[in-house]
Amino acid sequence: MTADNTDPRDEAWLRGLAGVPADEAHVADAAAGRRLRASLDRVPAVEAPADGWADVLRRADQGVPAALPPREAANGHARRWAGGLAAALLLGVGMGGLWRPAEDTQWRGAGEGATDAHWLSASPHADARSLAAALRGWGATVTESTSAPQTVWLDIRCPAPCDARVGARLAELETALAPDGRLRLKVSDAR
Amino acid sequence: MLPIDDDALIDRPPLGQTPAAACTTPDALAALYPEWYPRLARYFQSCGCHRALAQELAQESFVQALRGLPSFRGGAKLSTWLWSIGQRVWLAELRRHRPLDQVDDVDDLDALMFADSPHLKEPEDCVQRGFARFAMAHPERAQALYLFYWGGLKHGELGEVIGRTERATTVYLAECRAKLAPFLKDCDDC
Repeated sequence: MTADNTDPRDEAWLRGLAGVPADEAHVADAAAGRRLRASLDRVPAVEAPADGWADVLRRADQGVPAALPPREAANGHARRWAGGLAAALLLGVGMGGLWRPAEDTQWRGAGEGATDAHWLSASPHADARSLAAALRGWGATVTESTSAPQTVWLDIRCPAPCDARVGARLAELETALAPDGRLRLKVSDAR
Repeated sequence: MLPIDDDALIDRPPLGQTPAAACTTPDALAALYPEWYPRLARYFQSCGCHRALAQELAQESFVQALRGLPSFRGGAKLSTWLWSIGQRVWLAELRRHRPLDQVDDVDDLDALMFADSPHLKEPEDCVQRGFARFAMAHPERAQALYLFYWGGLKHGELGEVIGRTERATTVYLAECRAKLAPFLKDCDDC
């Protein structure tokens, strides 16, 4: 834990942080390091879920992009230009009609239904994961499932009394829980 | 504002991707899961993530590690490689919540990030809150201090993890302390 060319006060602080005895000449610095150590010690422990590794295997497998079928690959060159032109036109129309400079510019979608909403996202897995984590943090139960490589379903349950932040977050996405506290949300690739 | 080198950290290959030949099976990663999932989740909580997000990021770290396992060449310990992936996952999540051009002010962090964590609400957790905010503003520096706290590493060992020489690590840790100080200044009366 020792090192040359360091301020002895910093070294005392680091020793306090590491939980090892420090030079008595720098008691205050060592105490400051110990205080940070004590605060980090207070962070609650987390246990690994029993079926956690199985979930890792499942998610790692699902996240692998589907291989392009050989026929598609052979025809892909000719279609690329037509597809690209169509995509550019659609993107132009879409951007003109749907652009909003808010946080959720990546969220797009029909969203009319309260029980089966559909959102288009540039990064569906990441956005769905982030949303699910936030909702869980507020007490909602969220089950994720994947029916296609770039489509994630979120089954959200938050029966009353539900934390108001759940509703507020969903409202930002222009959808809401059904009266029974449920929402099935489809997140798919906007590209 | 986040330091520029965080972007480089997100983009760069994780530690361990060196040309040395090695073959690591998913079983080796699975064996790390019971011990390292809790470590990663606790680290993410220390950085200010609420429990559910911390668990999700820990899980995602393993998912990405498993996907990237064929590229792991054994240049570092598997756990070190896993840790570097965890840090990349954290930085990517941080970046998603806080674009570089939106936040200069530390006071904005609580609103943008995960200040609803129950373990950060108690008054005596002033230092913990300060460290979490520091971790959001300076994630690489927070990682270095956390590894020093948690791992009891010598400067040279820590340098291997964070990609610095022993001497540079010594200087870096002193700088980290100085950078952390403003985040803890309100805790002196606690």
